[in-house]
Amino acid sequence: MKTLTILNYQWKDLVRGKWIFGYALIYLLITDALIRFGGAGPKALLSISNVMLLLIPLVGMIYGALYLYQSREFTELLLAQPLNRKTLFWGLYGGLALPLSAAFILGTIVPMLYNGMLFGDQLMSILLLLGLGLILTLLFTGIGFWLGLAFFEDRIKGFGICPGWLAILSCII
Amino acid sequence: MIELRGLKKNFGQLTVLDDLDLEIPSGQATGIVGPNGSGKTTMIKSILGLVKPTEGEVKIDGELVNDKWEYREKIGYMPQVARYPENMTVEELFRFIKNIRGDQPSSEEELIKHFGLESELKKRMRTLSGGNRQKVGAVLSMMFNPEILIFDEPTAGLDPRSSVQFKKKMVELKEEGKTIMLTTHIMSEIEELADYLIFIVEGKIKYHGPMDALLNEHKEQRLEGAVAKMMEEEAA
Repeated sequence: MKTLTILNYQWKDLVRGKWIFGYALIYLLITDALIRFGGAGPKALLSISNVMLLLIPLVGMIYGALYLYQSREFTELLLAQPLNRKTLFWGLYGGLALPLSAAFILGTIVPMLYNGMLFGDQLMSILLLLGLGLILTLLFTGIGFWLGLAFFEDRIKGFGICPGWLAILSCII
Repeated sequence: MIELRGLKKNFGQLTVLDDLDLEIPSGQATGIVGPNGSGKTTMIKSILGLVKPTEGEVKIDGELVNDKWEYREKIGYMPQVARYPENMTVEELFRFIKNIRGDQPSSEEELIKHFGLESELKKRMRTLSGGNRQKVGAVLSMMFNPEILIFDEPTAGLDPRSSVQFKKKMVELKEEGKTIMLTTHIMSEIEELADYLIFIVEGKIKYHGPMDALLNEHKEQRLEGAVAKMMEEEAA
């Protein structure tokens, strides 16, 4: 229950910060542009998935770590309250990863909707793409969050490891 | 009572707390002094569970509290640096902390009035001055009527009027029999507010006892002189 309270506060804080709308808008513009240039076929889906594979880990990981560093003093104040650490960190993580996931899904699905892609025979591929984006957001925000926690006292190290992880990932891809 | 037994904390090669043994009886106001980087904040954070000790035990009212969280219901903490979510209003922050604790504060209204925060309640945190943020921290630490109050350099960002308001409140809390721990570099504040003193240098306790005994021991009239003498002895 308290996890939901923290999640709710995080959600409101992100919405007030307004940048989350900017993040959704980036996906909307990219998806719209790719559909316009490549048509509403499998080519567009492939291009969207390429963009997604690069952008989601980058934003998720950096924002996951950055959030903890930015709100370090407040997190410490929350930790000084009679609150289970797990409850607090799940609340903070969920409050960060879920809005990021929602921004990706909304930003990608809206252009697909008005271009009629959702009603064709590609529905399964689209759902797979969105599901993959969701998993990547949850995973990489979690990694960023974990790095932020593991190097809570040393933000340069924590923040520096994020691009390192991405470089490894790029090589694998 | 707060008890620290063989408390050690290392950050890599650096030993910040070195085998601390300490007993702070209930209902007393204790001032913690020491040079910068001597381990005052780390000691406070160990009691709060914000720092995990490398070795040793922390007991509150006889109960071992290492890795527990329920005991924090008894504690009110005012940190040295007051930074809160910038988009939250003061009112929302108070509500959020109330929801998290699942507790109804007993003296919220009175504290808001005492610190003159009525006109700031609807304002967002980013528009608040450093002093007002500090006052918000003071209200948060006291509003649930905790048995133990820990203040980490509480008057650092306060103007003289607010500082006097804070000290008045602290005297009231002392009279109510609360256990208070206070770190500050302002010796007159310790003289005014604390009965006992802990002097800590490089993670070791060099003095723990009543203030009068320390003054007599060093043949000084003011605490500042006695603490300066102790620091000189340490440096020699």
